[in-house]
Amino acid sequence: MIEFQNVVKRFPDGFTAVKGLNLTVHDGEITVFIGPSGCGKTTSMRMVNRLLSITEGKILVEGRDNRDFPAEELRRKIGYAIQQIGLFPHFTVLDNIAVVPRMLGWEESRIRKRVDELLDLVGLDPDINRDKYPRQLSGGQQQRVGVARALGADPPIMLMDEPFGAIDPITREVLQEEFLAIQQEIGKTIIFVTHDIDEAIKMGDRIAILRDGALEQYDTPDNILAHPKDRFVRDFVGSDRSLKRLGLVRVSELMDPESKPLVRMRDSTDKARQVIEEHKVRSAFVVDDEGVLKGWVDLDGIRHAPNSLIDAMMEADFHEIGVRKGNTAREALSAMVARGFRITPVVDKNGRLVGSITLKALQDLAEQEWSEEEATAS
Amino acid sequence: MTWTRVPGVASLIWLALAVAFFALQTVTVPVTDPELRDAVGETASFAPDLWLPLFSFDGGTVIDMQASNDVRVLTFGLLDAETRAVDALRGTPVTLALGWFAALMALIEAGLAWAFRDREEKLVRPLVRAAGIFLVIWSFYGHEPFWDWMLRGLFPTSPDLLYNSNVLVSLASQHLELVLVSSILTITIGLSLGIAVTRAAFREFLPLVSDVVNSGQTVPTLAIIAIMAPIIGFGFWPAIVALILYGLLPIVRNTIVGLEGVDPAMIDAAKGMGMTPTQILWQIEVPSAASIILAGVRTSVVINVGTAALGAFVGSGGLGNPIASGLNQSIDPWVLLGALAAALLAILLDYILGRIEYVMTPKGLQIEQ
Ligand SMILES: Nc1ncnc2c1ncn2[C@@H]1O[C@H](COP(=O)(O)OP(=O)(O)OP(=O)(O)O)[C@@H](O)[C@H]1O
Ligand SMILES: [Mg+2]
Repeated sequence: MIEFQNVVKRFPDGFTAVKGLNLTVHDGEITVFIGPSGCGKTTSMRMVNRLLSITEGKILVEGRDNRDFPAEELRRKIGYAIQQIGLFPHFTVLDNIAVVPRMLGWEESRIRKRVDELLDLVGLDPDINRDKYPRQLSGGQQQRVGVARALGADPPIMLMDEPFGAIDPITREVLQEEFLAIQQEIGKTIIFVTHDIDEAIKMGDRIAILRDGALEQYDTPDNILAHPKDRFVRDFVGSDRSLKRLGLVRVSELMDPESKPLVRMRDSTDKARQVIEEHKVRSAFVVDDEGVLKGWVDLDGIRHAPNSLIDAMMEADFHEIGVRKGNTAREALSAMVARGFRITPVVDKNGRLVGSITLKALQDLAEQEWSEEEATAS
Repeated sequence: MTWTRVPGVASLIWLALAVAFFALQTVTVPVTDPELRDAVGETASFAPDLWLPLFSFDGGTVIDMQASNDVRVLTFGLLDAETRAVDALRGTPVTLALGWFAALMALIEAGLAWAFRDREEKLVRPLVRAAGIFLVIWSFYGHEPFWDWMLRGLFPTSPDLLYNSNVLVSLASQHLELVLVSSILTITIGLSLGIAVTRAAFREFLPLVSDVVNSGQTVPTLAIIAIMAPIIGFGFWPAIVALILYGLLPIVRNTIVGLEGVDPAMIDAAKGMGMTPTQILWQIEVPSAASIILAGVRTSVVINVGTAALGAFVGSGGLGNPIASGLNQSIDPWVLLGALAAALLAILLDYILGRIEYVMTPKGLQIEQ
């Protein structure tokens, strides 16, 4: 646990970059610091491992004032990763990752094992990469090594200052996903600085929005999106926050496992028409005998081939038209918009239809949010 | 992959050199001096008197070639000049020298090529090779008949070729002593200064130190020497002081530039991981700046070789002596002897320092071809 208690940072030039910050970073969570450039994210973070001194107030690390520890000892317990990565070019990948373990006096065999383990964890083949120098790695690979280095001595706490900032959007998403998967395993207490709201929503268990050195709002991503405290936060999270919020909701939370407008391939077109009318949908899903999604059929199709459902249906791969329970509501919406459906089939990994999700369900979610906001605003 | 990396090539080259040296090595001449004939017999075998005292092996007759015209010796293949003969004969079996040395080097290189056959090795091999090449060049350098032959080619009519018989090596040694002593002091002072003023505690002195060091180089060396001589006296030390002042600039400047150029993100990362300032300095900053600092050292040392010649004016000796005397007495070969010898020395030191620079630049920082 990291606790900021009335923390103030005044620089020697008189500029007050942090103005009485109060905030608790919970164990095992990723807390994202976000805010406009110059709002004091980096400054706040760097006071935790005492790269910057605290002017007033204090920061408790694991219950103790962080000034009670010798600075170097404190820092060796706190993993540190920065946007510029800062790998040592004259050290091999192994030596870079081994910096803190070596300072802590680990045995060489243990260090080697740890390095291999970490390289595996960040998705780099140890045998290929262990003895490379940083310049022999791509930017994304260097960033992975940077994260592995921060994890070197298995610190309980990590400070990450825009760790994926210097990476192209595609690689960044991959790294984010990977890091979240790693965090599932290691459960570190992490302060994660970013100025990308999408990254914050994706990575954060909690988001601290800073403005001019003060805490504006501190809450879970969902609550921040659903209940932005004021205009600043609302603007900051963006006018598409409803859409963003859909990104936090899983299909499994919104789908209707009962509602399955489906017909089997060997059913008649009459049956199909009946299902469509009964469910008040424009098309019904067609499955085979195993229940695997094979396509869909609508009234137009039935009109063209009234005698054979197989001729009337549109065949499609379930990967293309179905969404999975683990997908976000935002992805489901995107699938609907792309195909002009009001309803999208939810399938399991074998393509079996397990339910459906409707445009209406998504709308309802947004509306509920809207009315809540009206309520708070008035 | 350059040819020097092909395994065994270096060894073969040394072997060829050994054969060549052996072929040129021994010359048998009749002994005309009756006294000498009593001692050695009708003929005497001579090995070239190359300056390689460290590498002596059996295989000839030791003769110190000095003034006497009784015996004509073809000392070295290149050299059909008269040597100034034999006045004494230390009857022990000797020596040579380059042939054996080259053969030894061939063996060493072969051994190293085998030992490091499947990995890149850039410390031992370049240093051994540099040392070998240095000793070969140095034996020619210290070989007076060689100079005699060369200067005679340039000044066929001049009566005074060599400045003094048998002094080149001692002049060069004095010169080297000046350069080495001053360089060691300059490097120590320059590095400490450069490191100190880039530390937070002394950073305020950075502009001051830069200015002083810069102006040190603008004052003519001769002026510094002239000022120093009355204070410290004549001889070795005033020259050393002048050399230090003069050689400081490249080292301090490059140390500052090198250290200031270290990526701040790297230092931030190092600090954030809990490295102490000392660890950061020696493990991160200095290695990162090593190639720039060493380039400064190299420049400084090479400059010093030239500047040290001025030491002759305060009696510190060195290769400036033949230059000064030559200028005084209008004897061109002397001037050329000193200048050429100093230039060769500079090239030699530059080469060695270049190898050291290469070896000491961390592998991760070397530019890949
Ligand atoms: N050493 C310093 N001296 C004076 N002011 C500073 C110093 N370092 C930072 N500041 C100021 O403090 C404020 C906060 O800086 P900080 O680096 O924490 O911003 P940030 O939120 O991390 O912004 P960014 O998203 O651009 O990284 C800025 O206005 C900056 O100009
Ligand atoms: Mg910042």
